[in-house]
Amino acid sequence: MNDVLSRRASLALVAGVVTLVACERGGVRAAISPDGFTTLDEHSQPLRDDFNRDVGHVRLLFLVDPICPTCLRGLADIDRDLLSKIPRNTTLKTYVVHEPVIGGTARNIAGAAGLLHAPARHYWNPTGSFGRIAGAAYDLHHDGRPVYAWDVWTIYGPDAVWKDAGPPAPLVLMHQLPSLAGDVRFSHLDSKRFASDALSSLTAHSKRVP
Amino acid sequence: MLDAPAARTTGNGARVIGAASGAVGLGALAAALGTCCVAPWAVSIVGVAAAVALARLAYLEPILLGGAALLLGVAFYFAYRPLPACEDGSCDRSSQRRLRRIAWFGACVVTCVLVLTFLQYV
Repeated sequence: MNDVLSRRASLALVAGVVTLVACERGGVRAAISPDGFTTLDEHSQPLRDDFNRDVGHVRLLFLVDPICPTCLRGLADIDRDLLSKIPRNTTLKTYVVHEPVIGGTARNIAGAAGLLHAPARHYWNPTGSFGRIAGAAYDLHHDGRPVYAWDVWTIYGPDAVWKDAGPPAPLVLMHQLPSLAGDVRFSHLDSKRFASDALSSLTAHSKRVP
Repeated sequence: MLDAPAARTTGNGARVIGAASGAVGLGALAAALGTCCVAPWAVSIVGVAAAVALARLAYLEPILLGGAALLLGVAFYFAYRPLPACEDGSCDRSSQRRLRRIAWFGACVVTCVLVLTFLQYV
């Protein structure tokens, strides 16, 4: 009896070690919650790995609070003007980072995600650190003070690689932030123009790829 | 039956109350639209789809505030319009003071909305 138990314990131990090694080597991706989102760590992982894994694709990165109506309108408008119109097999990758800026929680992500009718990866950043990192990376500031990145909408070309702590400079950055209203470098979100820019990037990319 | 000065005051009362109420109503509507991005109430109360619809109407906020300011102007005009018939002291001064308080209350509400709206941009 003891012999059987110790054999089972050994097997369980071996199975556990094998699983741990597989996870350590990246064989298993970060756990996706039943609600369909992944939690970001302080190093913006696994978004950073996902972004770099998708090099060669046009990528969209959105930063929103899942209960901010203006952000939700931005999601709905971009879905209406871009995501719902492009074919499913288009090599466009969409990432949405949800941040708790005005009190959004992980429970609100499903409602926001429901506004998109195309595949997208959703991430939850419970500490809100990603907004600070991205704000610094995008050089968002107002009167010399850093601006937290949320309600920000970006397009990346297929060559963009995330090397530093923050995301790389995007091809296009639009926002709906009053504090950036006077900044000529960034436009207020215009979903039709955003869609047009994204489609131009996709067209240019498809001409390059045989 | 009301005599002429009293009728004048009563007519002013309806105009002042109507205009001030309209200003407060438009101000409240503007506040609801304007605070939708900074106040987390919209999604939890009305749901995602209605919050999106509300956000799509946000462009109406300055128009509503302009309408509120116009109505306040009307309310103040009728509340402070000199009443010639009162020079002999025959009309109800307390009624006029009440109308002025109503106009000022409306002005306070609309000013609060304007300040809150402005704070979003700071």
